[in-house]
Amino acid sequence: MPLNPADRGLLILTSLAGGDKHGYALMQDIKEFANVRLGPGSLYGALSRLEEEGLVEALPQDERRRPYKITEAGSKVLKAELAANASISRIGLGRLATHDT
Amino acid sequence: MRRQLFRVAMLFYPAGWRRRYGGELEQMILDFGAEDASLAGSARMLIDLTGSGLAVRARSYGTGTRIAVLACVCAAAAIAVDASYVTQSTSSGFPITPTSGFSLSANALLPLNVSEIHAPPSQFPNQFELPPQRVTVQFVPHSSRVVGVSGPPAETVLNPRTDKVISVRLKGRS
Repeated sequence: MPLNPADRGLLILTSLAGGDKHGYALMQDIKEFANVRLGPGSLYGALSRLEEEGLVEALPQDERRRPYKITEAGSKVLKAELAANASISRIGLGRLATHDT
Repeated sequence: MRRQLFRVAMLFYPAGWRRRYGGELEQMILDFGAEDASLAGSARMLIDLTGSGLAVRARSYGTGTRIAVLACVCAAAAIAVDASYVTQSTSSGFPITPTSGFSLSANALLPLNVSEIHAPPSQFPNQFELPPQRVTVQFVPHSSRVVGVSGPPAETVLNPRTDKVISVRLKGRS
């Protein structure tokens, strides 16, 4: 199922929560922890939106690769989103367990 | 991915975005190609780049611009529909049966289609002294039903079954 921009943003923020990364490293990390391969266009489209919104910040360029870091606002947004998702997961799994028994 | 193809895909992005992220994006594709050359040059990646470019471009427009673009698209569509009606009317033998030399002009204006019939005096042998007469026939939008006729005193003969104008004659002179 194709990811919507919010999901892409969440994946990028989750990846950056583990440390600063440039585009390619982000893509590899996301592939590893979420088994989702973001294309370069999708990744940079989402990254630029997150930067506009002040959720990530570009660091000084290293050759042609520019690392990004999550900002304080980005961390708050990520925390809130993950908490909401966790709550949905908990409720959904609980209901499925009831359904199965 | 070939550099030329990459440049073409980059044209989908706004210029400012290209300046800011283009170099990094190209570098990422090079890194990508080092890992899997077939994937880096694939159609899937081209679609990803162009699709994302269009999304970024749409995002870069302000709300006002988006509304203006939408309004222009709607107006163009409405005019196209309107114009197609006029074209259809004229090309299918407009119900008015002008004699040769009669000219018919149609304006695709919303909300009414207004067609003007220019009757040069040469078509009215009795009215040589008059300037060209103009009769305006107003139609119900997108139909050939007549709302009204205005201009110099004129007499319209309608087909009673279809309400289509059969002929328009200037009155008051003989």
